[in-house]
Amino acid sequence: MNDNLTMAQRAEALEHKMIRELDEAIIVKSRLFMLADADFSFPNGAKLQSEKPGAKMLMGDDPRLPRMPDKPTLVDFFKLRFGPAQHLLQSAKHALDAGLSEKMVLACLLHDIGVIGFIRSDHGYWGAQLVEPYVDPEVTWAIRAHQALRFYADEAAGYPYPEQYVRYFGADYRPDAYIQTEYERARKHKWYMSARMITVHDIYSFDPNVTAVLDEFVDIIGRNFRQPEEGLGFDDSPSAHMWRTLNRPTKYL
Amino acid sequence: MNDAMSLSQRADALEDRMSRQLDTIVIKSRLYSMAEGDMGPPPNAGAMMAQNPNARVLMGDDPRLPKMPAKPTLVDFFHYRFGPAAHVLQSARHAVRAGLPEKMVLACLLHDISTMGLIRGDHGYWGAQLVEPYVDEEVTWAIRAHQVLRFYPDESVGYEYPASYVKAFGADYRPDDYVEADYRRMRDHKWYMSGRMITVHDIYSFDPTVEVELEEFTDVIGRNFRQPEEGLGYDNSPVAHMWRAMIRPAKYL
Repeated sequence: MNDNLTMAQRAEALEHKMIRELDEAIIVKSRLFMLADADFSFPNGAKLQSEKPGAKMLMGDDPRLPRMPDKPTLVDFFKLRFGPAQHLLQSAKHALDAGLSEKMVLACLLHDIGVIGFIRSDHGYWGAQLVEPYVDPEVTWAIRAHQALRFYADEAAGYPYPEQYVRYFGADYRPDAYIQTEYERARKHKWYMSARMITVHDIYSFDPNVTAVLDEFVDIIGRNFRQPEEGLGFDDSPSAHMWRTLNRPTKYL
Repeated sequence: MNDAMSLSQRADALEDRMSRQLDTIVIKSRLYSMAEGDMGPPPNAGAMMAQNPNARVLMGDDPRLPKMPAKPTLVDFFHYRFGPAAHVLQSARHAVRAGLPEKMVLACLLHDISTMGLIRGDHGYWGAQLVEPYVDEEVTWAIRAHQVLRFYPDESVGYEYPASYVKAFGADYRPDDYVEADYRRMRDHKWYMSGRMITVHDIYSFDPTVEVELEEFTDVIGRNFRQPEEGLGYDNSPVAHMWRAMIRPAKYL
């Protein structure tokens, strides 16, 4: 791009380029996303194309989203796809200050990536599934189990039932039966306390005065997250397609 | 509604009325927002509840969606969550007529369930992951493989590159490198022809005049899909949370 352009001109040029790309692309939403809007219509590609002659169904990068590198790392996903990460960073810092092991600091750093980057509904299971090929099994287990354990107090470990949940879900909220079952299973597991630690360092970590940055955890990620050489999404792992969906949420097929 | 209102005022009013009616706050998952090109931070549920003290974030059934049975079966998902199934029903019938074994009929019936119910992009990988605990390994493999094989002709069995793809994706569309790499792996696999058969019975099956009912395949499903007793989503399988996300796509956490 020409260096003599002002910032506003650049922004405008970029916008034009995006609009051109959008003009040439037909973007449809996945069923799950539409169900979340209670929209039961189902897109018809052929019909959409007849209404927008010359346009193609989107199979490549979404021009509306920041471009990802060819071999994206976990840090790239934090920067280019995930929402605000302050809660996770504070949680990891809290775990670090409490002297937890590096892998548990990583577990705290990643425990809510289902929420900040992917699917909220039962986010602990989604987060665990995303990272399973790349972390210690204990980390995966703890991320999955924190989903259930947050609803059950363990005063001995320093975890009361969160006041915030009373406000958000109502005083009469009871977890679903499958969560209760999961809790009972997890309570007896050898790694129970690892998952419990995520909840302990989770709930006290909403502090607007503390700012933690991802750079503080780059070494812990490097030592404890097996970043695939081909990039997340392109390593033929069982969760590769999930990272690719995060990369291109609107790929047509 | 007042005709003098602007479009955005109307939208606001509608949203306001809906949320008051529901007393339910729906916060979209990051993945769903990104599919709308929205990279902004999520709305603050706490602030929304401050405005409407009766409101709660959604943790139970979504009042806007059809209620699912407590122990949902595969057929329930076809009825209450999936989009139009004519394409997979026609595909499965085509496979029956060609004399394919029952498990391959099932593979044809299920090959696009991710497009119909979950996520479109790389839907073969998503669909295979959804059914993996419940079907023969070969069925999972074939559903995954069809994602890739559809882009490559195999004249020996009469599968040409689909004309509909030229129209949908453009004549110059080339599959991504990871698809090409997967194709080379799959081409040499002992189950190659099973993945290929899905594409053979897939592409010729778009006939608007043929009506096929799901009931035609109840027995094939019964014999070849291991429906969990607790219901799909509640059997603690590695993919149970994925079925639950379809049941409650807007669950808050």
